[in-house]
Amino acid sequence: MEDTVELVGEILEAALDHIGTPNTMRALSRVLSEHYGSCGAMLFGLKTDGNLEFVEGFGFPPIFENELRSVSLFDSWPLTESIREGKIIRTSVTEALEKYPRFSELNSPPAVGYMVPCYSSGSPMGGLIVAFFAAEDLGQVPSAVLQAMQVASYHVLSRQLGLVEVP
Amino acid sequence: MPLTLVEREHLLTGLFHLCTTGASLERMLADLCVDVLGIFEARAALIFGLERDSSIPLLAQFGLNASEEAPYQGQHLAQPSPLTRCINDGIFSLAAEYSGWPGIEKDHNVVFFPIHWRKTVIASLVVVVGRDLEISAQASLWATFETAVALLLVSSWQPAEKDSYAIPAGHPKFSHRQLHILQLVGMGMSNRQISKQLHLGLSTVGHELMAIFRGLEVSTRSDAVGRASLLGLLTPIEAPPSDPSAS
Repeated sequence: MEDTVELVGEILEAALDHIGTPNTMRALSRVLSEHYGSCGAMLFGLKTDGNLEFVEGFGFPPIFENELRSVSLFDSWPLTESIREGKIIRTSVTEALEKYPRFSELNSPPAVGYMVPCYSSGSPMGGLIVAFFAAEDLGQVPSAVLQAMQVASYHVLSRQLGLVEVP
Repeated sequence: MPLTLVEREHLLTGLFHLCTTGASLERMLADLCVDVLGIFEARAALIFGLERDSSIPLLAQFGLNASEEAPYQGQHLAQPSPLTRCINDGIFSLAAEYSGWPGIEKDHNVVFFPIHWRKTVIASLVVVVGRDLEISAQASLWATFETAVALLLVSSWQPAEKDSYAIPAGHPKFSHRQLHILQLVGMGMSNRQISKQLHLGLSTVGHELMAIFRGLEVSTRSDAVGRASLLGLLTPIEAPPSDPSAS
């Protein structure tokens, strides 16, 4: 628990230091990489037309950003499912390929990914993909760590022009 | 009584929830007392800013009535107090009877948190609790707590997009003097600088600013500037000849 609290503190500190800059995801990824190995984070906002909009990312192959740039909230992707259901979803490559066939179109899927929905006062405002590229035997990332990532993402998204909450 | 694992998790969860509600400072303090620090029997919470002129204005509070709130106004970094000690030396806890502050029950503790942003103290959070926070034993927990509060404050003080401000119903009416003060606040001036610029007493500037905050339904200078900008109140104004405050 002590380690988790310290990691949560590091995540919030990184968010605080980079708030208002386009480097928050890079900073957050670096914090997580020190603990869990190679890591990337990609943040999407939810537009009023129901599509996701890429906001900021780090550590992902460009194909991810391009592929997910125009995804609708109602398309079948782990992230959209996470936002629709309002819960954090963990996927491995194997699971993702089985459940989401479009994953096979990507060249280098991450070993383990966490889909983290972002909400503001109960309304969805976007979602975050936290991906670990190193190994499948990562174990469970503590929920407090993912919630801290959620908080950091909330503060990035709440600053984005044009990303309004869906009623 | 030592803090249990469940209580630590409860505290973190409450903090995460608080960080994503986008509430006003007053509401944030209320939630902080009830939801996050409820397990510590929190009774009151106060947020003080730290201005460039070293004044320490009370920005918002929860749990004190109007008469109890008055002594907390008008503090200054040059005047030794528990608040200045916290800003200079870091987090500490004090038995209420030694805090010298009215309105606090004697069997409570007053805990002072300095709130940092980019290696600078930007504010101070003061909470009144009935149970020991175990500051030394739970150092990383309270450091994380401080960071979360800083994130909240920085977000509410420095919104990046003016469009995020909700315009209050009906345009508020301000005097020429208040509009002038608003413009100077928008230029980043402190209360002391405004008082010199407009040849007004420091307390007069403070009172006018409070009236402006009420009119705009905001609690911070940044929010006031953002909302005033949306309402078109920050455009240069001509002094009406009959207005004595313009001279």
